[in-house]
Amino acid sequence: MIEARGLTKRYGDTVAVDGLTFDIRPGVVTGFLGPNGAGKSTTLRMILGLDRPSAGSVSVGGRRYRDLAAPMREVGALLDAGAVHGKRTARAHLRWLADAGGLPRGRVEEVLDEVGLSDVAGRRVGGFSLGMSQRLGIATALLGDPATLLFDEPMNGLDPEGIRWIRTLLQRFAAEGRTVVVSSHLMHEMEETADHVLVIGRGRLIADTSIPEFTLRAAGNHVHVASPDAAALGALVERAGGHVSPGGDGALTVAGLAAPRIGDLAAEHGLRVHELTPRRASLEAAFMELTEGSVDYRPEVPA
Amino acid sequence: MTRFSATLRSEWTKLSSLRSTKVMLACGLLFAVALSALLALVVGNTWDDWKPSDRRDYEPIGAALIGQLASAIFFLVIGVKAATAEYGAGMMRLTLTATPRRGRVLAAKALVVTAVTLAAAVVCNVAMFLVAKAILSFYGIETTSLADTGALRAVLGSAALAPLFPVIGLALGIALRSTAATIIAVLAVIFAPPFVGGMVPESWQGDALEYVPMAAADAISIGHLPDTAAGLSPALGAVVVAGWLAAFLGGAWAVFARRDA
Repeated sequence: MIEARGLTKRYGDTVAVDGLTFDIRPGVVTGFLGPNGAGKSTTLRMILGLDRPSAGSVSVGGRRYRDLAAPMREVGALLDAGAVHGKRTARAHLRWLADAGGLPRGRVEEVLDEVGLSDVAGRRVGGFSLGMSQRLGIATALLGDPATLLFDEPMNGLDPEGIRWIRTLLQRFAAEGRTVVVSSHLMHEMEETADHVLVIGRGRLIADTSIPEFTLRAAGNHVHVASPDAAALGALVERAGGHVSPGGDGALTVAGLAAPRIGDLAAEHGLRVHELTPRRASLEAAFMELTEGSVDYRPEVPA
Repeated sequence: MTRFSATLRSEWTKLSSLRSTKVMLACGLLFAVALSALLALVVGNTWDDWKPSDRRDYEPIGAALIGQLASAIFFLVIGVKAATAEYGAGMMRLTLTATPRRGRVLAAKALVVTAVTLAAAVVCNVAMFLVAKAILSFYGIETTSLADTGALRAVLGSAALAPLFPVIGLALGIALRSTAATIIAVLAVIFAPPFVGGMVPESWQGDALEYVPMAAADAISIGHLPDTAAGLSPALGAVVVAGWLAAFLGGAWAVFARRDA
């Protein structure tokens, strides 16, 4: 169980995390979603006691991280798979961590085996591929066999097989009753991995809900419209309060206006409609809609 | 409860699992002995041409330990790297996730750096002394034995103080986080006082220069040797050295404990 109450982080005038309040429960995989720069990593660092909150608090199992009696046995984290000394072997890297946590050296071989790195344990980590580094990072998180696992973008650099592997691993950990948090900016990854999502944008909590509810929230709000009179229809829809974006191949994607209303509008103005399809939103689309306006840096879309 | 001994063991594993540590120690020993041997060879070769007054002023103990100029550099790098190597790729976050008590991490690092450089310095200093003595005796110049109190104080005293600058380097490395910046800072601590002191009228500087880390350390280890200008007493030197260590480590801790990792 991770509890955040009004968790805030300011850097000068910039508010990176803005009054987050949430509970992350054990037994499910919780996806921590947000565009790059939304404050996900900063929040994870505050959970781990690495960054000091400007206001508010966050606790793991009822205690501040730095007050945990045996942190590695309670929380395992993968923040940055590249945060290793490249001249050390994978085994030596895990050994200093095991020593720091007062864990038996035998755990090192166990986690190496679990993530499939036993064969390269004696190799220096500087020569590891991105996928191997990611596996080593996961091994570090698993060392203390902790009840809470935090993974920052764990699927980065993994091939499809690796992604399937970690997805199964995460779901198994949750089924074992652990608290599992996975951050990502890639929504479709989370759709099949997480049971619950916390969505943040510009440091604020946008949604704290289950995956089915999250997608439902935006379902029906998107309508795919193909029309030879797309420009005219688009303008009408906008005037009626809909939001129009290009849907590919000259089609329109309309949000905020239901399909029957769009059909009626077209009929009233004698515009032709070739296709009018309500689309169940993907997590990705729901996310885009929810975080609209909360993205700091957006490329200009040519008109 | 995870104990301090766990943190200590972890820092030891970190240091001993890097080949560069062993390379630094081996180079320290090699260059130190080579430098002392070279000086002994030069002295031995030219001894017959020395004036009687020069022979009288020759101080073989300090000369035998000249190789410390080399070993000190390698020991310093070990101390600095114990801090800065963790900042390059962000490994410090992993360290502090495993051990959130930051004072404990700093203390464990300081103890491990002290133990390693101390042990290495004992080996280096004894080796330098014996090699230099053997070379001189080959030229028929008999010098003090290692068992002599004066020699032993210099050899072991210098070794005991060898961790001083590596630990100062560790403290500055924690604060500055960059290897290059830290090395420059330590060099400034060592060389700036005598350099600046040389530009200030003597009536102004008083005996301030006796209190800088290097001079206070020398007062303990080689203050009894004839060609060392009399400075602080060994006891006062020890107090001053302890004060400097406390100041550097305390400053590092103050920064380390407050800063976002």
